[in-house]
Amino acid sequence: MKFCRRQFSDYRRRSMHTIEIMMGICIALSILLQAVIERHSLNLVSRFEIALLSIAPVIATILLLARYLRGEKDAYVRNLVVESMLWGLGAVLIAHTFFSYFQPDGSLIPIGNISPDIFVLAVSAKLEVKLWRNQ
Amino acid sequence: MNNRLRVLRAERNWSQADLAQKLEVSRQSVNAIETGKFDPSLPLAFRLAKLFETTIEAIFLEES
Repeated sequence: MKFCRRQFSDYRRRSMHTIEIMMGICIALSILLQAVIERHSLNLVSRFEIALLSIAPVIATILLLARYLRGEKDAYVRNLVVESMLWGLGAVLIAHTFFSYFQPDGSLIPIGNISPDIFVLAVSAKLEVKLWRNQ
Repeated sequence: MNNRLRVLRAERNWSQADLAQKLEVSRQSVNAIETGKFDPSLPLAFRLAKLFETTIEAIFLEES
């Protein structure tokens, strides 16, 4: 996200950088865990453990975002981030709803595993568009 | 909400970045307020009034 590289405060830059890293971990972990599930025949307990592991960075990202928003003093930027996050959640919801109809035939895209990717893309796109329109 | 922020800023030869620095907000915030895309919070409105040595009503105008 170019958002954190612009002339923003150290707090904002640092927070965004940490959130970016955590989102990167979310994406990397989702790819890695998907590969593990596809290559190994896992029992229910192992699948449960993998499921728990996969949500850990998602929870961490949510907590980081909450902490960032609590500390963000610029109301405009705070609104911008919240609005972009809502767009991100909306994009994930739309993708899930759409691809859920492919489930009975075996979905082409394991949508649950690419949720973080969709979220990151939608949030980044919305932030960039809003900042570009407000140059 | 209409406002006289651009005029007040121009009278002092301040750029958006200058004003943003004085207010401790992003330049995008100043631009959004000037163009009426975003209404500032009450604390920020008070900071603006103090900075321009005027009242909030003299900066922000009620839309008719």
